Amino acid sequence: MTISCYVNNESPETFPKTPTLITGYSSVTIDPLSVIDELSPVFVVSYNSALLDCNYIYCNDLSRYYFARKSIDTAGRIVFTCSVDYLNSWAGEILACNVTVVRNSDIIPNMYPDKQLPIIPTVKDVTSIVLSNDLFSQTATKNYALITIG
Amino acid sequence: MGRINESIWGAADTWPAASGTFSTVGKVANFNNQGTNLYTAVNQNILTFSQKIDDKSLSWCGLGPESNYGHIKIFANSTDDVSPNDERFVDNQTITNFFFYNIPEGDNAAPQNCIMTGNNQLYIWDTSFTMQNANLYIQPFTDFYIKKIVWLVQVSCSDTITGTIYTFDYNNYIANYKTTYPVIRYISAIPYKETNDNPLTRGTFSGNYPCTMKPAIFNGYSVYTNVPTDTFADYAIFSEDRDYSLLLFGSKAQNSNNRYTIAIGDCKRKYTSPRSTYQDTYIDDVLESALKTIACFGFFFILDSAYINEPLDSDNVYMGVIPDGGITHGEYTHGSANRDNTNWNMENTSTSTYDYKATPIDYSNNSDLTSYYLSTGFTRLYAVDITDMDNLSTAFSTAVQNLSTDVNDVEKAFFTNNPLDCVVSLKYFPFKLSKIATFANTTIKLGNNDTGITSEFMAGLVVPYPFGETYIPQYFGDFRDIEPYTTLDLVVPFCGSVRLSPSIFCGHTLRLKMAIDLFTGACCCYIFRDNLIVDSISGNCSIDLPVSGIQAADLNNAIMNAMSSSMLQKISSQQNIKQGALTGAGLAGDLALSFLGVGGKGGKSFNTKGLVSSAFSGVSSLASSYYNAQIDGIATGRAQYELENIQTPFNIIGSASAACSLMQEMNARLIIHRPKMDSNYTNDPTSFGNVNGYATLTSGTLSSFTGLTVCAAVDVSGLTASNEEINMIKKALLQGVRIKPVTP
Repeated sequence: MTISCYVNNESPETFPKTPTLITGYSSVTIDPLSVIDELSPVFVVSYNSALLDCNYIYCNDLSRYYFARKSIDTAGRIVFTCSVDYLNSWAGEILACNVTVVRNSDIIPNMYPDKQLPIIPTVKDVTSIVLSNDLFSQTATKNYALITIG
Repeated sequence: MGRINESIWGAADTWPAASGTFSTVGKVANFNNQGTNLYTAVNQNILTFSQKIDDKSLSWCGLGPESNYGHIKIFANSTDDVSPNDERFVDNQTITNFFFYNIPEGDNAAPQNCIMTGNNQLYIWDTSFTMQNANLYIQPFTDFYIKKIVWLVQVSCSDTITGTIYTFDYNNYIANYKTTYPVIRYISAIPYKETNDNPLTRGTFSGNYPCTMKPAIFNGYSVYTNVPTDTFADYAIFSEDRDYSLLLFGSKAQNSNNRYTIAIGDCKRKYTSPRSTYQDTYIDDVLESALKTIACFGFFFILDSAYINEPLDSDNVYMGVIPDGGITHGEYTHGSANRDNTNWNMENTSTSTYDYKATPIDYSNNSDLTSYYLSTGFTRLYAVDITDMDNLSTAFSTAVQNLSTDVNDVEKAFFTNNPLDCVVSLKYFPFKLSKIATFANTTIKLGNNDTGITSEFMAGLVVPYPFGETYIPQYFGDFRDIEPYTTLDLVVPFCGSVRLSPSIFCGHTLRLKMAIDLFTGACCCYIFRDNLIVDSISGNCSIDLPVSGIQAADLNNAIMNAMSSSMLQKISSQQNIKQGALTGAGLAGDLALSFLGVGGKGGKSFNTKGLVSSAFSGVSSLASSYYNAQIDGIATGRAQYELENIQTPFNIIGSASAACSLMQEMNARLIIHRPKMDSNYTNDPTSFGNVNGYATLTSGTLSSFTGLTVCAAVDVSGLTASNEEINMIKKALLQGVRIKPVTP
């Protein structure tokens, strides 16, 4: 079984990820001491300084991506303790899901009230617009209405 | 094709190119293959002088309320020396349909005019149909090549209302001249056409005077009432000093009597003289209104001559949007967004999909006020001023003094034995009464008494009066523009304030109309959202002024009673009084009485014979003793007291009402309260969005979203992951994930 070793700088909740493959280590043979588990495998590989930066692994046999936490065992081997990155592993299927979205950073403020928007509750901007007219005038003439009998 | 009514405007395949310099920008109607102008249409019996034409098929879109051509105002009795006090607003029309017309160059016709008036009828001003009349040369455009013309918007301005007019490109005016020449006389657009079929090489139209191209409208108002004599019109609302321009804002009045002035757009400003022009000082709304007007036609336009030769989808070329349904609202795009407009593919206006027959159109949401004429037939309402009242007071006094001494004459002259009762009320209004009603010259009459004082009496309709308007933009473009975040309070003079709903008015025009009852002073301000009434607020805009004077009839009675009592006392002192013992024949004779007339002048005498006998009946002996009391032979009883203490009865017609409301602002005012944002958000809204996202409620596949995305519901039935992974995926989607755009 082989693994591909990457360096990932994106946050766990981001997907699809584009990790950087460690050059020359797209197919690393794992040691038989490795624990093969779909969700939390432990991959043991021979020591190689180039792999010390690796924090993200893809296992082709398991068809999953993993966050990797490395350590060095007493024999000097690199032990990658992994947890599945389910979002990236199933990115294609997830993106095809139908969802109802209630918050999104790319849909700019719209007509749905947003209680998280930082509106200052006690302060208002006041604008006053004059709707001018030419009916009323303080200097009007013939402006008295006299009603008489006759 | 098929949209244009070919039974009137000719078969499409017979339409020739417009004559003269406009031949490359469109085709014109062909009436029975006999000619292209309206004179031909009349000769071919397709159109007659007074024929009703209910055809709007030449319009390639419907002009919405944002177009200055979408509503026109009509004023009556424009004169050579027009002043704001002489104008009399008559009507306000809303229209949606229009057509453009061409007048060929070389014809000796003035490029002034084309008004289609009177209940969709086509009126030609000269009934003799001679070829000398400018109207008859008009060639209606049936096909207009919108993409072959780009309009350059220009502002014509001056430093004062009568100053020299200067014209600048729109951008140049705003950047450099709006302070120096703040008075905007009119805003127009100059067309530039393709030359040599090269869309990137445009030139001005050239040709011999008076070639022109103008829009015209069908409206429902019969403007000219003296048609047979109106063989010449200097110019009308759609023309302008320069032949080729499209007037976007402003209007011009006719300089002669007995004519009406038709004004497009927001023309409530001042006149200038001699060739009257509406004008306004620089404000953003005026310029924006002009852009909306040109956009309502779906035209391409630019704001600086430097961009004349730019492609139609360049950033500096704007395009009016004709949305689905064809009713325009003054929206426009620029740059590549032009290609997204539905009318981008409308090469020529004849390919427009606008269905002029479709109803309801936007104006089906119109609601408007009606006029009224209220008259009792027994009262008259006069428009007077202080001088008239002073003269009336003098005339009234003179009239009373000149009356005969017979009470019947008083009643004949004033319809009452108390002349002051002829005055029903006197009210002060803060406006010239003839602004809202038709008045005719006359003299003031009190009852049957003509005072000879010249005045005006209400003789016609009372019309609602425009009371201001403003467009309320979407300030934030989101939920903050509506309640409860934003509030609108409208303060109307004399009526108070009313809270308006921002969700109704945001992105629309707030219009006010004032309806006033001149008899009571009650006023009602109707509140329109665009052209639909949505609210109203009432009050009273008049001040009651009291009219006081001596109540002559009551004074007469008081004196009569006092004198009767006095006489009774004298008689009883001479003989015993017995009920019914006296007859009229036993009386000593008549006793003359007099009374003070109005203002202490005049007087009358009464024959008391009959009165005395009736006064005696029912008088008890005790009462007679009371009345007969004497001290030293001098009567000191009740009767003498009454005679000496008659109180002159005054009457006050009308009650004074407070004039403090006159001290308020005479314009309506819209007060907008908008929410204020935290400064951190204001400084960097993008950062907030990235961290928190914005509220929404949208469904779709997750791939259609990017960025921070928080879900409320997820359909994970299509996932092939393990159950545990599916649960974790669902949980993550509900908490929020960040989706990167997928690069194809």
